[in-house]
Amino acid sequence: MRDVSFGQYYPVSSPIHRLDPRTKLLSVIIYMVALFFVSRFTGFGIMALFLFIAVIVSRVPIGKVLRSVRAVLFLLIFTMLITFLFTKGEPDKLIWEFGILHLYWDGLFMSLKLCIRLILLVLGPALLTLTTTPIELTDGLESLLKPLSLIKIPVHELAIIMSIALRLIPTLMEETDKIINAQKARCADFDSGNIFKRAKAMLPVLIPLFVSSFRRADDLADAMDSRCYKGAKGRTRMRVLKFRFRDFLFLFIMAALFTVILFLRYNWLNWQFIAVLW
Amino acid sequence: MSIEIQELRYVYSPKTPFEKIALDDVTLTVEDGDFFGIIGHTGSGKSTLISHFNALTRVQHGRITVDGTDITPKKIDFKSLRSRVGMVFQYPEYQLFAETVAKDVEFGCRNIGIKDDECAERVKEAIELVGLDYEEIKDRSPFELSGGQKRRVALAGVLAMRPKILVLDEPTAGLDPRGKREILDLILKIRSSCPTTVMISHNMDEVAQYCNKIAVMSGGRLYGVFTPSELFSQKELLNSLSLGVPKVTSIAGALADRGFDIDRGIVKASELVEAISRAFGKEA
Repeated sequence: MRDVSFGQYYPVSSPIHRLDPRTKLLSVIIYMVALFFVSRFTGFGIMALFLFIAVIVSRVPIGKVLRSVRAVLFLLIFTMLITFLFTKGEPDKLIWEFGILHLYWDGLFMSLKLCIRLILLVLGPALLTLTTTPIELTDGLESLLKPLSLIKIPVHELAIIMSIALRLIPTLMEETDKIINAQKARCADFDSGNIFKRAKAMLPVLIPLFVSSFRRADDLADAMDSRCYKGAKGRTRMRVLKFRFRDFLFLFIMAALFTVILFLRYNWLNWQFIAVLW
Repeated sequence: MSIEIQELRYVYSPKTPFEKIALDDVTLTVEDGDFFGIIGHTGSGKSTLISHFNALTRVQHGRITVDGTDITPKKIDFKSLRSRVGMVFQYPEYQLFAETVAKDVEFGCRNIGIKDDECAERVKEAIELVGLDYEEIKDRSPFELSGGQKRRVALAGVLAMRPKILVLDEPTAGLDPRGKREILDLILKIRSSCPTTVMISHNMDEVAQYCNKIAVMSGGRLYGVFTPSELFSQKELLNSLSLGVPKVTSIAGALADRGFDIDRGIVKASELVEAISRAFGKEA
């Protein structure tokens, strides 16, 4: 279990890693919205190229980024097949037909585009979590959502709950590891029998884990109380988020990308060369 | 029963940015009847080393033989190995889970396939061996016991498997001085049925008092295996590893510095008392 590195943060130093988390969050949102405006292969090409450059700059190995696609592989193949088999296109472009199933060239293109869109949709946020620590992400999120506290949404409390939860995941994993080892040392068997047997075999791990989680929560509450924690009011932060030149530059690039994608889609100025693009 | 370790090397998360060498070229032998101490700083690889003894951590490079059986191959008889090498982790009380003490103690015993009658007998024996009143405690919840009692119950849970080697990771951590002494006396008592003991400790007084061999670990490497008096008379070595000296030895050293005829390598309280009375007797 030690191999499950927490989240998937990839600890190297790169311009992407150093960006303000808010910049990265906003950029991912822009990126994902932009993806839904893309309708031609050229557009997908531009988005993919942009992402590729971002990955290179981030110094995260490409394999690590691509691995996140595995999680949605089934969904990907499933939607692709469904779209391919059930989309009707122009009758003269029929490839193959059987009952309600038919393969059209249009369907093929559509399912290809869907597939590319899904992959790109997964890869963007993957790069975000690979280059941003969970704590930075929570800080960024809290800062971006701050306006919501005007309508009485407890943004700070939600953020602190999230950071405590994130902070405790590795601790709990370590604890689980220890308890599993201790029970294994007493010859507990977690790997054989049917699913019910295995679930029952986890009890000697789960009960001590619950007990220690409650103890830990109590201790943490005491520690926070004794340091006068009283919520968001008047609280200052140690790491103050600050937009720098590179953040503005990156957001400008994102805006430019978004504009290009919009032009590709709507071609407001009726440029000939856009109209003939695939 | 003995444990032989040859050129053991272990790397955490190999080929990632989190890669860390935990053990490097460790070779040592724990012989039958040893009370084997392992000392070293946090992160020196002590715990990783002992978790190899019952194959909780599998051998990456090197070779380990327990009681003549090679445990390096992928498929081994885990149950037999783990019942023979009884492992008690740090803060073992955190592993208690059952609704009664008796049920918790019998967990390991049942897992190795011991039948009801014999299991009950072993549970009674183990609970009494750790110095608790079987009739009084067997139906209580382990969660309502005191810290020291919990630790004894957890120890009994391992002893019920009747191990031949007892491996203890800081058995006295977090106990008060009296609790510490009680647990250590208990371990000495257990040695009548389980003669070989391996113990990790941060407390130099403990290892000096109880162990006959001490392995010193530093940064994943084995610095050497010494007898207590060999080790604690080498002040420079201990200083360079920033490890302390037992109180007994520092008293002996201080007296020797002031010109008394006392051996600097004394590690046991009883020997010190004897040496002092001898030295002072001579003066008088």
